[in-house]
Amino acid sequence: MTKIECADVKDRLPESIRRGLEDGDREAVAAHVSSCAPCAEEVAFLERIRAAAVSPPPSLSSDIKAALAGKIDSEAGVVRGRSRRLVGWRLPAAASVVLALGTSVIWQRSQALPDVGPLGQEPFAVVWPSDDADVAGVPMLADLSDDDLALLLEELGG
Amino acid sequence: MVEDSSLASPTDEELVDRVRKGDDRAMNVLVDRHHGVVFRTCATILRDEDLAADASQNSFLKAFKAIDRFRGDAAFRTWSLAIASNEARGLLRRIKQRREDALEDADVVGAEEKDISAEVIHRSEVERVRAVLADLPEKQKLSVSLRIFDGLSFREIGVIIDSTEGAARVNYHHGIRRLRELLEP
Repeated sequence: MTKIECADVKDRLPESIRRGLEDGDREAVAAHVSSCAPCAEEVAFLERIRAAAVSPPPSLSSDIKAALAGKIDSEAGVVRGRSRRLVGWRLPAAASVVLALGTSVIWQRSQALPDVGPLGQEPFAVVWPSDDADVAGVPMLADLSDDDLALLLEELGG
Repeated sequence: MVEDSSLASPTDEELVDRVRKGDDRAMNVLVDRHHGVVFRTCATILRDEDLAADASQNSFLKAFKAIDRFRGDAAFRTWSLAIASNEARGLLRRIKQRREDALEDADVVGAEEKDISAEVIHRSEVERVRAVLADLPEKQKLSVSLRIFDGLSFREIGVIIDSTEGAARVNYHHGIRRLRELLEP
């Protein structure tokens, strides 16, 4: 075998170790490797690398199919109801959104308040926010699932 | 999920045609065929399997949403991997930006980027290989992983790393050489 033949064989070794060669090529490569120590060593090294391949999570395929099954919003192209976890940066980001929305609600409420007369008069009693949770914005977000919260983050440019 | 046995052997091109006609089963077969390589591509770029799973899912959603714009110049696998690598790079950029915004401590950033070659000695064989591979420049590690793990041609890899076929070949050989230097005594 010449050096050129070795180069040709080495080019095909990634397919060879994955059993991806046609019959004729596979036999030719195997015959060369069996009599060529450098190419045999190359096969061993590539097998070593290949053993480190990561595998997708078992549920990934079904998760993707579920997401594809009618869950694409036709306008925004965002996913609804997908199975996502609030990992890494998402949790603090979600907390920031809750805080921002709560602050916004408080500001809007303060803008809506009419002039307040003396205590005990009717306008004061009617318009004052009666529920602390309402002020904090909790009703807007309390019922949101993790999925919907993640969606909200995406729509806000997260 | 049970797949339609009649869809077990069609080519990707045939399946893409069926998807365009609204056949969801064809879409599922394409997911079954390619989610592994899509996941590995995202994991190679992101170095995080949770994020890679998210990026993989988004990639398929984007690919099928844009399936009418797929002209067939490249294989569906190549096209979906190009989308996946863009998705993963975009996610990586956003994560890095957030980290930079949150962490101004240069020592912390420096710790993430330090040379890992000294650390990998005590890890298991598979962990060592993964760590060294992950530390290669992006084009090298993508070229190596796509070629060895999934048997892509250099032409396909060139599309995915946004380079020529020749550049993909060079990146592959440089990556292999670097792996040898770091893994072999």
